[in-house]
Amino acid sequence: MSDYLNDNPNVVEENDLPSRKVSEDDQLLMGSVGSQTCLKKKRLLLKIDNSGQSSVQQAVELLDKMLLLNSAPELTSDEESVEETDGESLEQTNEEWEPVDAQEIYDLTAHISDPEHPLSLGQLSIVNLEDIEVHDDGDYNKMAEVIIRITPTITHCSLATLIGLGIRVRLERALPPRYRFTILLKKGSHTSENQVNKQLNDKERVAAACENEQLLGVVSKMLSTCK
Amino acid sequence: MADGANGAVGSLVVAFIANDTVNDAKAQEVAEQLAEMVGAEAKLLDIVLGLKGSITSEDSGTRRKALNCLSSVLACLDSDKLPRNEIEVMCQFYNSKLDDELLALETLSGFRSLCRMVCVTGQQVSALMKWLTDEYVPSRYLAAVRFVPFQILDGIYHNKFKDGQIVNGKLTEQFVQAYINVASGEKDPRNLLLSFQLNERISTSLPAANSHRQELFDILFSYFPITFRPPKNDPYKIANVDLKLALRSALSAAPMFAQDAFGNLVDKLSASSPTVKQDTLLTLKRCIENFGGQACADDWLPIWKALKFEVMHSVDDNDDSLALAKVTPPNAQKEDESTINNYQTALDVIRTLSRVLQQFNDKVFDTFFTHALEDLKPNFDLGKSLKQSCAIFSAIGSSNKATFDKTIESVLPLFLVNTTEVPKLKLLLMNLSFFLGSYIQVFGETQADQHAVEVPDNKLASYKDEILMILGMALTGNSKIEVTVRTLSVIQFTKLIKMKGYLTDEEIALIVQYLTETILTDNNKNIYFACLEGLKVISEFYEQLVYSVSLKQMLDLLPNSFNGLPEFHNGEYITIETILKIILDFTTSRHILVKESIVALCSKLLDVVVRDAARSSDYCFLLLSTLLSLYDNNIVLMTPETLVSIKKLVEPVLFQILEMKDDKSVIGDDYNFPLFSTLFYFINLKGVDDTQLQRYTDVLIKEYKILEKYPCRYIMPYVKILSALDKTCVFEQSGEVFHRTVELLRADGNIPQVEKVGYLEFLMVLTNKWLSDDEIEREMDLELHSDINLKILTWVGKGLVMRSSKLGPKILKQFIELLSDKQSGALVSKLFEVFVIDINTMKRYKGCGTANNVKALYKQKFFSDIFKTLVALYRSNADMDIKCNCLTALSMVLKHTPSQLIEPFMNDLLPMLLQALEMPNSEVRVSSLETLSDVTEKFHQLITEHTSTLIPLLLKLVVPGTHNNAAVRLMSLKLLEVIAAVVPLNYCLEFKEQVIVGLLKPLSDKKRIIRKQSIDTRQVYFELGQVPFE
Amino acid sequence: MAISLIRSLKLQNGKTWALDFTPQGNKLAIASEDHKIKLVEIESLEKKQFKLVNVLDDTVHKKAVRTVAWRPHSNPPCLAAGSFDTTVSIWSFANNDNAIEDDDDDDDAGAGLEANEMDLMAIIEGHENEIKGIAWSHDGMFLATCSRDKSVWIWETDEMGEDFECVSVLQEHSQDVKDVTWHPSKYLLASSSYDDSVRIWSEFDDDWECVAVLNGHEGTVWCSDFAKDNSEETRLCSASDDSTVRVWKCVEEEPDGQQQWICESVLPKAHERQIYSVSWSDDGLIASTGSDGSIVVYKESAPAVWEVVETRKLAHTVYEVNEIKWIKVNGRNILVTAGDDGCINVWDFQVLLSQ
Repeated sequence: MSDYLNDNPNVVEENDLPSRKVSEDDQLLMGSVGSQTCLKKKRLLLKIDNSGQSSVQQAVELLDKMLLLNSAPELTSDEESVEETDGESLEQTNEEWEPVDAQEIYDLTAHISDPEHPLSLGQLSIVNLEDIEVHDDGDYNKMAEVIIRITPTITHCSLATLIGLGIRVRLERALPPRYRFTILLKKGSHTSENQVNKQLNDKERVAAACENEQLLGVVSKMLSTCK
Repeated sequence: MADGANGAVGSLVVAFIANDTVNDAKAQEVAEQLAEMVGAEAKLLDIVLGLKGSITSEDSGTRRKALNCLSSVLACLDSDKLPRNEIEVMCQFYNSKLDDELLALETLSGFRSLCRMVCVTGQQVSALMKWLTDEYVPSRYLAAVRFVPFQILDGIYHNKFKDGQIVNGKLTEQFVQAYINVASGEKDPRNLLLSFQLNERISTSLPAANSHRQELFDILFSYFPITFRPPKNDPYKIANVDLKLALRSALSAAPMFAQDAFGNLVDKLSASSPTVKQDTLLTLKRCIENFGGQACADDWLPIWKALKFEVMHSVDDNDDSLALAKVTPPNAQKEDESTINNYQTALDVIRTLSRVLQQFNDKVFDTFFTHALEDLKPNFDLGKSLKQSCAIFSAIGSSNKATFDKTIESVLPLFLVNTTEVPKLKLLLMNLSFFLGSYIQVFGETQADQHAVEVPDNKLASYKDEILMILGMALTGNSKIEVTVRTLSVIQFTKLIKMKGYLTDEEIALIVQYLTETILTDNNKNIYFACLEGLKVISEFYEQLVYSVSLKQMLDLLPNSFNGLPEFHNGEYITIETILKIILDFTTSRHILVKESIVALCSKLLDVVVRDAARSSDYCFLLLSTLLSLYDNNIVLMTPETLVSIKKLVEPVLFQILEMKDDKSVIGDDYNFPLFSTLFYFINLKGVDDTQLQRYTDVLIKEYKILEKYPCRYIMPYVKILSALDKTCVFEQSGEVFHRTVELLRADGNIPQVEKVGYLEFLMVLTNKWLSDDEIEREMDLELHSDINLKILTWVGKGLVMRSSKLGPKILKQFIELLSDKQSGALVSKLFEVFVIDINTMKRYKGCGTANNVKALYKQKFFSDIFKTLVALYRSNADMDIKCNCLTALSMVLKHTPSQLIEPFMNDLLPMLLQALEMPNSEVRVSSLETLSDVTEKFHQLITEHTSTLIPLLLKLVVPGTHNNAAVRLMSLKLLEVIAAVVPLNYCLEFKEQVIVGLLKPLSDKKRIIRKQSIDTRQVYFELGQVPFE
Repeated sequence: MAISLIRSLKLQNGKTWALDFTPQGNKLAIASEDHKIKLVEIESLEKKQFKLVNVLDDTVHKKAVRTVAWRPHSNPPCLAAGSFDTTVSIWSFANNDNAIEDDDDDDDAGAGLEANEMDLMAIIEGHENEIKGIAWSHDGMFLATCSRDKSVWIWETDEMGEDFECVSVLQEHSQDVKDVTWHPSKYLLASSSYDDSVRIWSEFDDDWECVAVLNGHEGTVWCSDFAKDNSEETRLCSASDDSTVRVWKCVEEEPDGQQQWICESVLPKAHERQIYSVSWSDDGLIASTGSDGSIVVYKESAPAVWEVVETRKLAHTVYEVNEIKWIKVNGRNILVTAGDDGCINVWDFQVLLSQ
């Protein structure tokens, strides 16, 4: 306690963690329906006012609505479309696919909090963007693989396994079953690298661990800080 | 003496004894009557005689009552009533009773009364005190009895020693001794309260106290730190704090306690309980203040040691170094008494100590300070516990000017050395921040419109240039990655501004320059907000300066043409968006800044339109948006004068733009033009009169011919002007204009959209403000179902609905019927949105209330008007299309209706909303979801009942499908998350697995945010019923 | 040759860990993550009729059931199940209806269910951690259990399977023991372990001891299975995390009971990830499956020469497959697999003997 928290050189500040910038804009635009121009305008607008509810934005939405409304047909269009096909195969939607990339995996894991510090794995550089590999061609009938190399804070950090478990649970909950995960300690980052690696990737042990209430408690505490 | 009187006394005495303990109120009354007679027709002796029998009775009860009678009477006598001789008699009488322990209460109360008698003599008092000292054993009596001796002493004090008229030392000596015996071992709160007060009086006013210093102090300190929980039904309502404070003030009452007090308190500081620490610290502070310089001069060393230890080893609860992530300047600690913060208190005590010492005499302070310096200096060399060390010095420094100067000149040199090593610099800035804080404490904070006040020259002044230099270096000399350092520097700059009279205007200008540069060129959130904060603070005090140095520069940076590329500005790229964003963010509620921005941006708009109309649509959009936001954010604060003055400058420019009929980027742009038109609304708000109206009408209708056979989009500015216009303005042509518009619309079916919207809105405004119901009825044709006529009806209807005209419902009825019409049904259902949609130019701004006829509760009325009929129609119809139309109409309305208005209809509404989720139309689903989310957050109970239906429905909507567009999916997922939060666990748990499985597919959604939301929602359900391990 | 899906039975959402079939091959017992043991009856392979006939009392095990094994030559049939809760439960059919061989002419569901009631005969405790594998000796005399506590225990039991006596605790493994399996005709036990080795155990003057250690795998050995051909030679196949299957052969038995084993062959690499299960059919085929979700069948084209005869990808769509077993139903070999998707998949496997 004697000195400033920020002195600790290997703590990265939350806002400085690598992140995908655009996302929050979309977040704000998501709920909205409307023409392309309207979306474009609103994107522009967000650059000068990211409240997402400026009076101007309302004005633009309103106008857009009016214009669409005055040209009635489009809106009612999807009544004519064929009977309910909800829940059919995912391919049928014509949205373009935003691939699962390292950044996405990073965002999933970087905010897990360290079991012994009040800090996140990202802040402690235990999880690093450049140490994440994703192999996925987006085909829903093929397996995909994620490889994460983690760097425990101290080479003998006994909690490495716990951290690994946290990450695995997070990923198993967050990614579809076609994904396979390999969680490894970065070379030379840990004295008993191989044991830990073997444990982290032993399906049976992980499964058993997940039935251990107390352990699960710790994990859910670690995950509670996920964003 | 008269037998009559005698008899009367006799019977009253009997009456008293009869009522005593049976009916005390009555007894009291009797006592008062007796007191009346005493000195008049009867003598006190008569009462004693009247009591003779019973007062010597064998039965203690009777004896008690009898004596009580006498004492009660005495209690009722004024203090000047009894002559010496009678007092003498009474004293002897009561003395004789003293050894009858059963009568203690009555006897002592007797004395209590006697002691306040004017004529009571020294001997009588001293006799009693002698008894209290030698014979009285408190432990033998109940608290209630023990209370009386305190009262006696209190009485004596007031009677004999008050206002320094102390007669003989012997008496006071006895008094003190009596007190010591009476007060020893007391436990009862009420008694203690009095005891403490007495103790304080004694120690402060009786010379005799000095010889008993020790006992008096021990009596007090044996209770420290006092903690007691008042019993539930405590008749005296004594709280812990009362005792705490009483004790504190007693302990700190007299310098003679100094040695003992300081010593003991310092020991107590080692206590582990934070509350005890707190109490000790505060008491210590009080002592330091009250015991005065000499005492402190003698004892400061141990105190200093203890306090230093306290600060070094305790944690600052609201630690700023953590707050850095959020941009609150380090000195912003909320002083919250309720939360104990011993760290701050300890510092506060240090501050007090140094103040007292300094005021006592400089020598002592110097020795103290030099000692402190010697103590802490090593920390600076080792870089250990710097935060605490600086906190301590800044505390010392913030006592007064003298201590401040001393501190600055000796401490600053310890760390104020320019360095290029980032960690060192970081520390330097944080340390510095403390002393800037001290400055503000000593010399005060800058006030608006009275800057450049003279401040006594001080030691910090001489460091000014160095500080500015270091901060400047920290900000500009470091790469952008060094967020913390740069943020810190910005924060310190801001703090400098806050320091009253510290900076010259040139220096302030320099800082503004720094901040402007930084905010323009750095896009890190922390830094951005730090700078913004800074600029805001400065604008509070130096608005004009900020304009000329900062705002002007930013405005000049805006290019005259938009080539899509960001602007280049000394080595840094700055996007137009950035500039505009900053302008929006920091001008708020600063009149000059807002005005200047608006004017400048308008002429910028003109430039752009003139230069290259072709490709600047986006640029113009940004400019327009900024302009409108500026108005919208500040309109309420802007005075009519300001608005008019702006209008003078801006209107010509706007008209110039209007002139350029074939411009593409504003006039020709379907999105920009309406925004542009809205500017006309704002410039005219607050203060347009009939003459102006006429002027505009001439220009637009006559010159621009907006109502001739060719539709013209210039109708829009006209509409906006009319909207801004006060409804009381006279508008003769309104009827005729209305007619022509309707004609024009009906005549030409395919008017371009924007124009059409313009004309329709025009009708709405006219209807709302000027036309009478029958004028309108004449113009309307409810039977004609052409698209255009339906729209005309809708908009006119809107105008009516907003002013709750009785004509409104007519149209609505018609519309609801049309929902079941095969051709127009679908369109009509959409049109329902128009009735309730909010149009900014129709909303009420404070201070321009009368502009439009918008009834506060019109939506509520509207909703209740249509709802029942809609529901009925929905239920009575089997046809899917019609049902769908109803739901569409409903959801369109709901989108714009605040949920508290909907609440009363919930029970009917909710089932429909649930069905709407299955309608083959994504927009219907979206709006139903919107309402449901609202409902879920507000009416937990209600939603809980429907979870079993809702959750499965939602699980159908989270997967892609023709009618599950991204919005539907996302909102369903969000709603699922909210449900888990608001619905009681036992209801959710049964769906846990179902949801977790149901959300597998969304995990592979093509859209990233949807995946994200699925993950979050899924996580929430995984954690349902899971206890995090502590 | 072809592997074709006969039927996929979705039993729950959680993992299905393991399965075993009655000697008559008409009843499957399934071990699953949801703490339950499920019984599925193969009513008719031709008609692809399967029925979930019973779910055993799910309060017995407090955690996932990891492994199940039917006791041979037991009448009525008797089932053992091992769980992560460190215990093994023993079950037996309530009445003797099932004693009758498999003439399943009465399709009466009621009777069926009735007939499928099982009683809990015993709970075996002793292991410190999760049970990971159990196996009955060919004659049903011994039950072997293994656990994360690195030990293998051998229990001797009576006719009814009511009381169990631990005759030996074998602790040579340095890590978790993942699986145990008995020789089809001898008192020979193989245990596979997280320590990358397989150990062979045998009774030697009525004490159990390790007679051989098979090293060679470069990762956890998940499973092993003895060759079922009645030839004199003793062979074992093993599946490992290193995504290989190896075949081992006992080349010499020394007088002191020790045995010499060699790695006869490493089967052609057909899996991309961990192999969790391997099974050796009585007609000499080896089937393997694992994390990559593929089923691979190998045939010994010439002594110690193996070739992949068939591969079936995505056997449980994109999920991992935990166990594969050959069953003989009406003299016909079929494959059954258990996957993370909570399914039991039954596969038809045609061998054109001409090949």
